[in-house]
Amino acid sequence: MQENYSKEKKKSLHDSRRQFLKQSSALAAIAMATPVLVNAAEKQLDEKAAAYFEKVSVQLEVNGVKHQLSIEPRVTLLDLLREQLHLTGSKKGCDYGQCGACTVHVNGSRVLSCLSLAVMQDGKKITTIEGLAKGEELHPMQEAFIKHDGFQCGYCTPGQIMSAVACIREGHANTEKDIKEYMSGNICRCGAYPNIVNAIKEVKEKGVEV
Amino acid sequence: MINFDYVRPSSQKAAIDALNKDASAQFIAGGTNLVDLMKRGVMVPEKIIDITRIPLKNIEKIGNVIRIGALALNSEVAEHELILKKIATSFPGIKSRCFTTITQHGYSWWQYFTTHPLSLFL
Repeated sequence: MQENYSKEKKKSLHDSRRQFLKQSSALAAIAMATPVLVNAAEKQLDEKAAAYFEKVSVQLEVNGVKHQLSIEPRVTLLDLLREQLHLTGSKKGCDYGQCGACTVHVNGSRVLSCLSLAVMQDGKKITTIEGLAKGEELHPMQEAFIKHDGFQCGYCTPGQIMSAVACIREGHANTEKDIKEYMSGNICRCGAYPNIVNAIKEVKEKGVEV
Repeated sequence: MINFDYVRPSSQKAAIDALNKDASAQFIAGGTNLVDLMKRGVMVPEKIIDITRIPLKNIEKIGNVIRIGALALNSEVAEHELILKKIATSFPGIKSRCFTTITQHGYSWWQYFTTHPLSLFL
């Protein structure tokens, strides 16, 4: 009992601290939300003045949900998705744009979220791996990856699937050669490539809408 | 990454003015060759000028020249009708496919030109 009590007490202390931090950062965000910064260059204002305001307000639609956020310019889209929106499906593989694990769709095109600054996506629509399934029903590409065993450890899979869907939508999945070419930005260290290609081929040949 | 100011001009003039005002400012478009260097601390600009909303995406033929806008994506260049036609007529040995190897990730257009062995022929 005693132990439980102290655990709970700890938890509530922890919660209230977190709550406090949340509230204070929210207040700070309201105080500092500055479209001014973005417009500074247009209006010939001295940008140094704008630099006092560290955060920039950004509007994003992620998987159909609109978000009004206040972020530092240095936050990458990947970090925003994972750390602030808690969409941890997109993976941080290399963080240098070489592995493709962080691939998401921005306005329908595939983009490496680790090399994209979140502020630059203002007003755009983002789709992550979490946004592909319709409720409990998996996306055809997700089904096909499971069926063809298109992964081993699964770390690259969210990026592979986002790329695979875009690959078909772009019309670049007509031949096996094309698929390999247009999936070349997504690395799989386990070497599941043949199965990934088979999964994409199947979805393409079925002709289902992706 | 060390924080920086961020501005997003919508005209070329405003972008150039913003750059002239600050010696350590950098333009950003795709970010492939800037963001990774900033993560390593190789590049440490105090201001980033986002030029992606400036209309510079055109790929057009002017006289004998194909002019590729600075913001045209690699993939758009690789698949553009004018480019495909030019390759087919001027360099029949080279398939347009060689351009698309860089469509998804990692390389900038100029890196491609300067590092790819085929660049000798282009």
